[in-house]
Amino acid sequence: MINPFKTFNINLNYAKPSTLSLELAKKYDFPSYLIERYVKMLGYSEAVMLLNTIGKGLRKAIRCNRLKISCKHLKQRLERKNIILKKIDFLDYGFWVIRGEDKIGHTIEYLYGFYYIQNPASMLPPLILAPTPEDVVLDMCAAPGGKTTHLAEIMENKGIIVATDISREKMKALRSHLSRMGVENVIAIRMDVREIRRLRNTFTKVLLDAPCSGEGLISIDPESIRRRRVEDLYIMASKQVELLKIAYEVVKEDGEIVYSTCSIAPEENEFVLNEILNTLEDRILIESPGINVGVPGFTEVFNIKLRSDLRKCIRLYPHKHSTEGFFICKLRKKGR
Amino acid sequence: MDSIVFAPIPSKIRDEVFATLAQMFGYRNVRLFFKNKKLLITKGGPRQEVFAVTIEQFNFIFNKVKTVLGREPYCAGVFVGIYGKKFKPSLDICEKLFKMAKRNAIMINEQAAILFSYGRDVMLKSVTKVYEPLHEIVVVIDPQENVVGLCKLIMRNLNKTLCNECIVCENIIDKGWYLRKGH
Repeated sequence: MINPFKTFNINLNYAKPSTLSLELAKKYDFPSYLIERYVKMLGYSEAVMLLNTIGKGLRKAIRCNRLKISCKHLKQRLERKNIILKKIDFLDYGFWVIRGEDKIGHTIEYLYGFYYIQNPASMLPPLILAPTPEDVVLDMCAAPGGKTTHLAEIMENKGIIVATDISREKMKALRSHLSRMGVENVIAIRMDVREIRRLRNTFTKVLLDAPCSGEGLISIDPESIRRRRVEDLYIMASKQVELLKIAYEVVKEDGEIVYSTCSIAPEENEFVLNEILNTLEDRILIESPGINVGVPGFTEVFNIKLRSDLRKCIRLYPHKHSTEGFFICKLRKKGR
Repeated sequence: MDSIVFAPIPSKIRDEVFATLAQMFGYRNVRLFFKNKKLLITKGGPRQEVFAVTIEQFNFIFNKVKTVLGREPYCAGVFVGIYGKKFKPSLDICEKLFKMAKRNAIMINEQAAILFSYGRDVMLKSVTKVYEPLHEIVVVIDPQENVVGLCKLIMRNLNKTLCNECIVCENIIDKGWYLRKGH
């Protein structure tokens, strides 16, 4: 099995299921290695709460596009269509759809680009990166564009966002969303993002919403999680380590990186950061996200001791926060 | 798309682009919008697309994307339109210029706006206001002045048209296009 973590020891037997996990696996029709890990990560009762969200779906949410409309006006317009919104705690322009979820993707307001349908967890990485109109931002895995359009809005359509993705189909979706949302400050490039390492020390901020196992989508897409094996997590983690190293190379000194995944697997999150921080020693550090949401990252999990500063990272769970399972961490490249 | 190259627009084509947009939205508005922007045109693809980028974006594309990365953008800045036998403005640029100019548009009622967003044409009875002067290609807006799309006028003088059910403007592109097709 690929092990991308060279700087700390992992006993790979940690995912071997116990009798208890095998029983739960049968009950929930879910892979036993996942359940074993959840029990070890969260404890039995919380693991059961998480498992109870399998396939249950999540409440929809939207992000109001202030480049095109005031949120007050949008709320009034949608209320006239019997679509009722409730403000998300951490974001003035993010709303839960309390009533009318079935209609939210089919309104003319959606076509006008007045909002983007997005899980609240996905609204956090751009918010935490907090780019200004003067920044040159790299969005490494940008398509279909939810976070790119959010970055553009925060930057008031100024500065530069370089949005890269390799998928031809997803790039088409990205371009359509940029048009729909009235975004002007993006240079989109279809490419293997690993090539971007040629632009060393170029960007003031980098968003790496890394490709992942999607283990955080347990509530909405359990089937794709059922198909995965524990080995897949390590294959994914090796890509994530590589991409995060590239993010470090292309960001300017004193520049910021936000790393996020829609996975709750420590292997794709804390392990990846632990490896990068150990490798780069004192050249990069974890910063506080500056927002009070979620629970802290793991500093010890599966009997593996990790760096203490990983507690500054944020974890979100469907059973606790009613969002996708999500992980976010903010890093700063140290200046000389 | 991969063999497409972004190049600075030749002055002859640039003048044609500006002339078309100026006829639609007025010279001053066009000049104001494109102030401190440069135009790029794609070459090597099935169609030539025109994009407006800021000076900073232009420099980044030519000094970093093309030179260091050896890549071409997929898209950049604002999509201005397609240059063929003649220039066809995009919905994106028309929306931005209409907001400045408030001319060359017809307002239609709420129901008609929804139908237009599904690809339907405009009937005379749906038109509630005309923003003169009108060009051949006009912006279609809803009662709150939100841009729904572009249509081609087939009856130049709307006041003299007697048939209420007559189609007066044919749908060229509408906001529903993003869902139905996309770029």
